[in-house]
Amino acid sequence: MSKRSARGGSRLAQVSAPEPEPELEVAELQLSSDEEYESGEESDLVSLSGGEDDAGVDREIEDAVLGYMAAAEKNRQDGGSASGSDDEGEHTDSGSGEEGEERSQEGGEGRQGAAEPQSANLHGAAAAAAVADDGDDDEQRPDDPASDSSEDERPNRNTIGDVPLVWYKDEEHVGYDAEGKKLARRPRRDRLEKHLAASDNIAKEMRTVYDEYNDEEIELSKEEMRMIQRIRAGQFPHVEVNPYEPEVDWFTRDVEVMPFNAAPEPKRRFVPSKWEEKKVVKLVRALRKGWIKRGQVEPEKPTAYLIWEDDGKTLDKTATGLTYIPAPKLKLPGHEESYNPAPEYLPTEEERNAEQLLDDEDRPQFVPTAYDCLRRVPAYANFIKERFERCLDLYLCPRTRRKRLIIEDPEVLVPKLPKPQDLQPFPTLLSVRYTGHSKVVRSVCPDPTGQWLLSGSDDGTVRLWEVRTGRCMQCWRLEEPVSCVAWCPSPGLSLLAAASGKRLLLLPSGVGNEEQEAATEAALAACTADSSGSSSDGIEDGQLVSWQRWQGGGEGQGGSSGSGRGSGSGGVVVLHKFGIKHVTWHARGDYFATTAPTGNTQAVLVNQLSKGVTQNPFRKNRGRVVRVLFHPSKPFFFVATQQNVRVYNLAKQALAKKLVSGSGVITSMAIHPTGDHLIVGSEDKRLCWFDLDLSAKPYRSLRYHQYAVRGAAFHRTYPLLASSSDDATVHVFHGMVYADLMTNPLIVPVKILRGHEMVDYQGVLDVAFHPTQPWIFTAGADATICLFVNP
Amino acid sequence: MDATQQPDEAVQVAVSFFTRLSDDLRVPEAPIAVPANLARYGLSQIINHLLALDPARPFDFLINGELLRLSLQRHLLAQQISAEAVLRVEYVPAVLPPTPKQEHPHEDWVSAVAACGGGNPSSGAGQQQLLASGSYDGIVRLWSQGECCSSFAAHKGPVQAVAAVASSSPAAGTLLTAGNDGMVRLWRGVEAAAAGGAAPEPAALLKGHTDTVQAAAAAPDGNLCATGGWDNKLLLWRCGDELQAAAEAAADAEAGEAAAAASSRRKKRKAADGAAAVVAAQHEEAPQSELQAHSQCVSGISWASEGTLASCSWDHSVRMWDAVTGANLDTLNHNKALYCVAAAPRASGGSGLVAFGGAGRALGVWDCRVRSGEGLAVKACSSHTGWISALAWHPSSAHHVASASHDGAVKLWDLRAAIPLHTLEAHSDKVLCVGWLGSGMLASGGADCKLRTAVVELAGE
Repeated sequence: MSKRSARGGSRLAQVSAPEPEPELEVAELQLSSDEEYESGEESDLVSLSGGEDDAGVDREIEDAVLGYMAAAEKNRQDGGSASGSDDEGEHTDSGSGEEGEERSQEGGEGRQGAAEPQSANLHGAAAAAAVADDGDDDEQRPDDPASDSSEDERPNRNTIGDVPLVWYKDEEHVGYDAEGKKLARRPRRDRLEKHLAASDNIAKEMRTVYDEYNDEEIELSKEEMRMIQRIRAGQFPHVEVNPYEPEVDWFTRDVEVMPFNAAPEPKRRFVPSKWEEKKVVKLVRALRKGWIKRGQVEPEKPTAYLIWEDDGKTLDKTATGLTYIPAPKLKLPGHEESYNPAPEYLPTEEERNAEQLLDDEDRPQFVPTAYDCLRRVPAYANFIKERFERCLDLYLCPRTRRKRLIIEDPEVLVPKLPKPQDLQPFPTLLSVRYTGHSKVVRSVCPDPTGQWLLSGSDDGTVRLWEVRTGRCMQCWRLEEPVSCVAWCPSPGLSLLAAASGKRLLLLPSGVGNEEQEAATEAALAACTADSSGSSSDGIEDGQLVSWQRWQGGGEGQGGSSGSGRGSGSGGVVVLHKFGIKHVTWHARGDYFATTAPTGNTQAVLVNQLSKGVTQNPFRKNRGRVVRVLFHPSKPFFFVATQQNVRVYNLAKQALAKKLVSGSGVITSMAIHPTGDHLIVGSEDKRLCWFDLDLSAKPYRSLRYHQYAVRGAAFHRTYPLLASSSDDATVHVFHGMVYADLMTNPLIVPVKILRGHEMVDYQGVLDVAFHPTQPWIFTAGADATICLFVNP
Repeated sequence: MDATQQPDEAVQVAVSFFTRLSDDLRVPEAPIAVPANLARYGLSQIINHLLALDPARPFDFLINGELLRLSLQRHLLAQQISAEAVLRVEYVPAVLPPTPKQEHPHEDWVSAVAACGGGNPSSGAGQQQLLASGSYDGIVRLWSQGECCSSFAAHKGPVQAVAAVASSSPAAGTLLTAGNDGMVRLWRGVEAAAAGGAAPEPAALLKGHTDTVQAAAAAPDGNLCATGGWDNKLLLWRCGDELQAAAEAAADAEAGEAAAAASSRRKKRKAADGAAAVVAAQHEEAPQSELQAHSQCVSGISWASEGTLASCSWDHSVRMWDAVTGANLDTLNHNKALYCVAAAPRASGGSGLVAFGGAGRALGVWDCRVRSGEGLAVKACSSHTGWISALAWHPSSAHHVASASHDGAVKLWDLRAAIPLHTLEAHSDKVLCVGWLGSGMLASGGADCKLRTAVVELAGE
């Protein structure tokens, strides 16, 4: 009966194979109803496929076996161990010793038992459905699940190759061997034999399956059966694997009486952690410094607050420190925007006409209109436009509020400098213009008394002017452009030096008194006494320069012819090897230094007037020497290369200081009469003030000019300094130097002097202050010299 | 005042005219009401009408010592004088615009000019007035009647100053010249030279300066002269008859001691052409005293009287000196370098004013009688547009000063007004010197190598 029911169940399953999972009750119901046409079904199958029916029957049997086993299992579980049968004995015979243990385990999981028959049925049904498919397609399935398991153990005995057996289904043979002989089909047991065998040992017969591929019958062992059963139940194939093993917490924090590990406690368990200590130190430090505040209670927020408080207000600060402005809100619609506003909101006829007359920009965007129902309201024509404009507004709106400095009095930002009018006197007014040169005036120099002015120009002349009247008193015509003139500061002499090309000329001025002129003549004669014998024009080998007499004289200016000063004695020419650009006198008037920027190792030469000797103090010059200068009182010597200024101590014969202007090419240099301050003009429009007591960096950098600075000068007595530039302006500064070392010099720009014109991008090339008055002489590229005086 | 609010309404001011002129030009002093908007011209018309003058004479009007230059009403407002009381107005003959007279071309810049000879220079518009001009070529030229009657090389280098030395002997004609060579020379026989004789002979060489002598001036009585220059010295020298005597005595002694060499040299010099040769002075004179106070170039000297002189310097100061004791009487410190000074001559009434000019556009007037703290001692008169290079006080007027400037103009000032009386656009270049020729003629020389004269009528003063 159990077999029948199992078969019936399988049949039902075969019919309703496509259905996913029939319910248990339904299966039971049908189990009872389909008993009678079981045979008919069977015969039907036989009649349809005569050769195949054996296989189909085998399947059925197999299914039945499975179903039976499932039922037996169920019975066993239901009835406990009391339902022991011969099957049970069979089981125990074939199973190993461990089988009993396994079964007892299974008995433990009694709850799962209820579901097992169903799942067995279902899997059996699925297998049966597969057999039915085979029958329809007349196809042999090589991968039979039943035979698969035995294939691992037995070698493949198929000798005909991978040939569908259906080709030989009507033949006596099943294929050909290597020699081409027919392989005879193995004699099959017919149905009767099978039945007899089944009646002999139903259990064995039930476990026997036919392997079509290898053409043999295989009897499945009990383990294999169980394995199949488990696979079909969706469980692990191996019995011993238990996926639901109870977890044992081996490594707990509870100290066990018998620990797994007998190793002693590591040291770090009882030594304080270095890193923790560091962290603690950090925290302690932060507490001490007050970075972490203790005991501070957060002010309690009131329970009730305005939820729209932020509307329209800026938040105080964001994390980035920016103050954001929330997007402006749109005006909420009011009564006017209603689809059917009250009549007082509607514009009257006159208002509507008046609006029509307005410009498009002035006309209101929205005109209240009444509609009798909401459906009549048309689409808003300006919707896209307005929305676009709002988006545009929001996009273009600055989202951060610009922090604006609120300065009531902008004057407080300006450094406290005295007013220029309080710093009088300084030159402001153009009073005298000295005209006579025909080309760029390169250099000006007033005489120590302030009565005369010397100028040297590119037209090759040196001119002597009377300061007060602007009269040219003398003119020396030198062949080459005059780059620099300097008046000998010695009070006993009336001598001037002019640099013209490679020649340095020492000329008697002709305006001194008799004693001075005699002394000058004597000095000039003395300095050329040694070289008087050599009349050669060139420089002798091994000599730096050559001191020679020069017989060209100056000529008086003006209409007079008779009384022109017959400056009977010419000057002295000191012939250099390189073009001289600058000449400067020592304060005593005995030494003068010449600068020849192109003469690399002989760029700086110091000449002594009284002995007529020349020395080259520097064997090597780092960079192109632009200017040299004597300290007014101390034995210091300033050498300005294009990049920096070196201060040499002449007494120690050592480099005392190196001043770095940090600016462009140095063009000019002047020293304060006290000798403690130096100003340096450079081509990058800058005038740097160096405090020689302070540092090698500029104390102040004055950048006021628009073009390169060309000249710089200090006043001898007044606290004034000036710089001239190629922008044709002269800037006058008040530069007060205090005697105490504590007070820094006070530098105030007081005046911009304009009086020259730019010629070929050259403006004012030199400046010089009057020795006694607050006046300034400026040498311009427009071939004139200007005198600016105080108002 | 009502006058300011209703200018159209004829506001009238009660005025009482008086004058110090002669009786025939006097009007009754009874107050008369004149419209307040009248200016000088209107008042002058009233006076002419009252006097019934034909032809009409222009008058100038003084109210409390101030020359009337605006309308009466505005003048009262500016001077804060009440219009309620009777206004006492003095009238004086107006100075007519100068008329340019002559032009003397030079070969070089004219740096100094002086009237010399003709006896007492304050004696009036004498016909025999000689004009001496010093030039940058070192030559001093003598001009008479528009002709260059004599010229002689006075200095090696430019002549910076020329001054006439008054002499008791009418025909002496002594001239003082100073130049860039540091020499000061005294020349004698200028009148004779102008009359066609030989060149003036150097009477003495005043040797003491070591640099350019910028200023030289002789005392009104001719016994002292002062020079100043770029060596910062202000030196006083004997001059005139006293020096003459000393020079003669020295010459005699010299002749007695070493006769031959000296006399032959002197002969040779005399024989040489006076105009071209640089003449060595016959007698060397040492300075009588030095007035030490100036720290820079002494650029201008002017004698106020026989015993007092004023000097100005590049050190911005004007100093008054007592020539006898050498004491510095008073000092004014200005803020600019000064080039020229002119003191009111004692002969004209001695107003005690000192005018000075320098490296600025304003002419300064210093009243040295005002002690400090008693009021405004210095008045600035601005009209020039360049430096003021020379000043000349009228020899007989206490108020009239001529100024020369680098702007090419010569201006005539009445110091009772803040604006100049007249402007002579005489020169095309800097004017370097100005001087009075007598009391009716103004001479100026400048960088345009011209010496110009103009007639100025200061009648009645």
